[in-house]
Parts: sequence; structure tokens; C-alpha cells
Amino acid sequence: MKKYLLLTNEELKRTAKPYLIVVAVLMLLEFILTAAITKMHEGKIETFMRENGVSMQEAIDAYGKSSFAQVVASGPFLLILGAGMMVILISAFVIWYRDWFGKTNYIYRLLLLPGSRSSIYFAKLTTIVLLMFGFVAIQWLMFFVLAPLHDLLLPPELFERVSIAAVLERSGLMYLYDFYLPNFALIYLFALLLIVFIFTLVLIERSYRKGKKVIRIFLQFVILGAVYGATLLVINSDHLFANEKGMLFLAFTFLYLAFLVIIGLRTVSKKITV
Amino acid sequence: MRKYMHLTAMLAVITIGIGSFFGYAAAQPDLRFRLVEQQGDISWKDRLELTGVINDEDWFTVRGNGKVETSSRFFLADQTLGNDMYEMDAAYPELMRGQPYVNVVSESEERVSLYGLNEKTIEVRVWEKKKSKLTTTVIPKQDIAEDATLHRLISADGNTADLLLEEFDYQNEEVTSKFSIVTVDLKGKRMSKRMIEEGTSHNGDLTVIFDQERTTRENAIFVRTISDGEEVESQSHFVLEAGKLVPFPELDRLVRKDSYGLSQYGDLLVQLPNEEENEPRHEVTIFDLRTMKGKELKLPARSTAKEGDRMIDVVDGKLVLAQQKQDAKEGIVFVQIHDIEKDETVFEAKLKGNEDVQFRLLHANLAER
Repeated sequence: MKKYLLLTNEELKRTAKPYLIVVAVLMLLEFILTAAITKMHEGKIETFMRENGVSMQEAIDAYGKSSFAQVVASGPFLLILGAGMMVILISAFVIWYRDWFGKTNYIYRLLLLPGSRSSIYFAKLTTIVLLMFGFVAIQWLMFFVLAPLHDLLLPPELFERVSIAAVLERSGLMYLYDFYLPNFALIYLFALLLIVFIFTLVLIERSYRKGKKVIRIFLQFVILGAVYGATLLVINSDHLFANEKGMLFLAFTFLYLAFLVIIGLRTVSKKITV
Repeated sequence: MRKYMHLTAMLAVITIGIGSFFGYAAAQPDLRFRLVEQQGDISWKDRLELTGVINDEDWFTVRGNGKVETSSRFFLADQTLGNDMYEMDAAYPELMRGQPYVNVVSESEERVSLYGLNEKTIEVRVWEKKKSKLTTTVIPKQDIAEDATLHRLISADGNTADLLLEEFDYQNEEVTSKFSIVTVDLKGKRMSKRMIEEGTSHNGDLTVIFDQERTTRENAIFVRTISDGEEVESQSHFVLEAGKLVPFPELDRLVRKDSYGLSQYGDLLVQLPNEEENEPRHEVTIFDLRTMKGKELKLPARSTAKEGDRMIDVVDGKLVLAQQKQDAKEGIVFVQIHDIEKDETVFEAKLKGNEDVQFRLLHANLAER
């Protein structure tokens, strides 16, 4: 346990700087975007009033009031969020490969540490999961900074104040920030599955390295992935109620997750040699 | 502790962020309406019972005495098909498993029947209420276009059923409908189709009035609408008699020619006026198919109608009108009960709900309890 905690802390320490830079850039982009979209809306209203010689109310009738929900629902904002999630997924590759391809061949030091190698696997997995939840948490807090900023940038008659719940609902982000705990858990369980899937792919590639063998194993993964995907499709038919679908999804995801974790652990413990 | 500084810092950020998220989620009020105002005949307080759905998943009942009961329900059916499907889903879920896309529902005391079109078959499902037993009969489809729609059951005797079918004809970029009666023989697992003859010739779209209640009425009423694509120019009405479309001049004379929205409730046809802003009254047209007479009711408008939907139900000689108004902070529903015979509003209530709540009235019940 101590080894696992120390390794997790070490992984986080090594990731902290690039992670903070990425998060800071994304947040900065969100600030700029919120200000830009808000000011563009105001500009449109002013131009419409000037060109058509109409009152502000008539311009608002034509363009509507601005709301923070509109800003978040806009393509670029969702793109930034998507980019954040993509960075997390890429980190799942990077966290392993940097140990092999870095200057110091860090992986050899890790693998030669006394005790079970499963600590290495779980430390890296925990790190990526923490990075993901960290991003989700920071983004959540950002909503409470950006929403007042949006309202502050406009005169009161030009904006509609909406709750964060309405922002999530109208932008489709309710899927990431689901207020219903079981749904929230299901979404992040699926994200965990993706991370574990990437881990297993990387570890198998690192274990065998030979082209043909890797391709054969990769094909097995594709088949398994297809079976899992097909299962989800079957679950998503109109024969099952939402609660039944949820239970089956949970059961199959846990099974698949357990299978991938076992393969990953076996690979780390027995197949990877120094 | 310094050994785990990075881990601690990350956990602290997550705890604050995710913790505040769950705190915020817990503070969100449940999706529900509450009764905030009511006036009119006080005896209606105990008799009003509205059943509806909020945001397609929460089933609720509003009682006139102020109680609002909600429960989460799971639905299988494609709810865009109408209220019938909601009710069937809630009452007989097993009937809805793997249901065909287009459905016609008929219900009697003993059984519920569901008629649907699959790609190559007509599927008839019968749910015996007392035995809780489902029987499915699949009949091969013959001479029916792929995108045909089953509209309603015209008659049924246990062995055979006549259903109204609409098929679409796509020619010269214009879509016209052809109606026919499909007879399904449940024992013989056969079907036959006979086209409905049009008594008059017109250009325009022919549609059927959708009944909001399950029905076995023999006569479907057809409306031929002439429009320029957006505005309705005129409408003429027909009734099906012995396989022919016969003009229905009484209805032509009474209902507004420029308005959609004629609905059937048992023997009554109800037409809501076009949505106008700031109208002090809603003039609702009622046509009684038994007496073949019509009248206009004047209901006080409680909402600028353009802001929300209006939903009606007719029960026990009373018109129940629900008007939904949506604003940034809350959803408001005005409920009015109007005595059709006396043309007087006997009860009014105002309900308030959460923001972004979509309300859909399924049916009203005014039975004395």
C-alpha cells in the first residue's frame, strides 16, 4: 500500500507541470471565448440598432438575450472541453511510453523496485483517474467564475441570468455532470474502461513488440471490443426498460473491465522483462 | 505528509470540485409542480386529478386539494406517438417490449390490443388483463408501402379488425396521401386492403383527426387542408361512410377554416383557436357528434398563449384546459375546468414548477371521490 501511494504521488509529481500548463491554457481559452462570444452578441445588437434605427427592445426581439448557456452550448466552448478530455486520454498512453522513451529509461528503475509490480499499474491508473476528475472538478468550478463574468460584460437588459443546472441542460453537458449519482457513476465507469483499455493495449505492445504477435493480440482486442460494442447495441434496444439497460450495462462493463485489468496486471507482472 | 504532497493537493482539488458539484446537485429541487393558487367552485378541489408527465420520465398526478404526487417511470415506447403510448407503457409494460414502430391502441375491460406495422408484417398484440397474458399474432404485409401509417381502429370483433391506413404518394415533389381500410384476420393470419373512395375531388392534404382517447368509433373524420405551406387557407371535412368519403357540411360551417387543432373526445369535437398574443379570451369551438350541433365557449385566457403549449381534455361534460407558460425561472401551468353546457368556468388553478420543465397533460379525471 505504501509503495502504491508513493508511486501515485511520484506519478502525479512528474505529471503536475504539463497538466497544470494544459489546464491553464484551456481555462484561459474559456475566459477569452466567453468574453468574445458575449461581446459579439452585444455588437450584433448594437449594429442592428444602428443600421435599422430601431430600439434596443426591437433588437433584442430580433436577436434574443444572451445567456451563459448559449456560450457554453457554442461549438468552440464544447471543443475546448473535448480537447481537455482528449488530453486525459492521450495521457493514458504518455504515462507509460515516457518511461520507456524518456532520457533515463525510468521504467527499468520502476520494474526493479522490490514488491509486487501491480502497484506500478494501479499507481498509473489512479494518476490518470485523478487527472480526469481533477479536470472535471476544475471545469465545474470554472462555470461559477465564467457565468458571472458573462453577466458582468453585458448591460442588464441584454442578458438572461440562468442557473448552472440550466447551463448544463441546454448545452448537453448534463452527460458529464449528471446530478443523478448512478448515472454519474456509469459515465465515469465507462471513462475508466477506456483508460484501462488503452493501458492494456500499451502494455501488450511493450511486452511483445514483435509486429505479428502484436497484430494477433490486437485483433483479439478488436474482436473483444466488437463483442462488447455489440452487447451494448443489443442492450440499447426497445425491448428493455432504462433500469434494465443500466443494470446490464453495468454488469457487462464490470466484466470487461475486470478482464482488461487482469490482462494488464499479468502483462506487467510476467510478460514485461527488464 | 510532505511525501504525499502532490497526491494530497490533487485530492483536495477533486474534493472541493466534485464535492461542490454533488452539493449543488443535492440542492436542486425535485422536478415537481406545486399548487399555488385556485379559485372557483370549491367542490372541484376534491375532484380534479391531472395525470401528466414532466420531461418524459417523471409521471405525476396533481390533485385539486393541493397534493402533487410524482414518481419516476421508465418508458419503452416512442413517446412522440402520443399519449396513448405513455399510458400503455405505464399500465402494461410487457405489451410494449419490442413494440412495432407505428401503433394503434384499443382497450376494453377485458383486454388491450396493440396494432403495429413492422417492416414486413402487421403485428397484433393482445394483453388479457385478468390473465396477464400476452398473445402476439404476426400477419404478413401485402401491398402496403414501407412508410405507411396506421391511424386508428375502425372496428373489431375479436377475430377480425378494420384499421385505417395512410400511404404516401411522392410525385412531382408533392406528397399526397391515400387512405385505405386494412382488414386483419387474426385466426387466418391474413390481411386485405380496400381503398377509400374520395367523394369529391380537391387539391390539398388529407389528414385524419387524431383521437386523443382510445376509441372504437366507426367514423373517422377527415380534414382536407389547403395551405400555402405555412398558413392554412381553408379546410373541408369528410366522414367515412361505407368506404366512401362523404362531405361533412355541418362541421365545415362551424369550425374555423384557418386553424388546425381539431381534436376528438368521444362524441365531442373540440377546436382550439389559433394562438394569439394577449387575447383576453380563448374561443373554443365544440361540436357534438350525437346532436350534430356546435357551440362556441369563451374561456378567460390565463397566459399569453404564444409563450406555451395548450393541452385539453374533455371529461364528464367539462373541458379541462391546461396552458403552459415557460420563463427563465419556472414553469407555470394554468388549469381551467369549464362546464360545456353552462359555458362557465367552474374551477381555476395555477401550478408552478421548476425551470425548463416540459409539462404534458395526459388526461384529467373529475370523478367524485
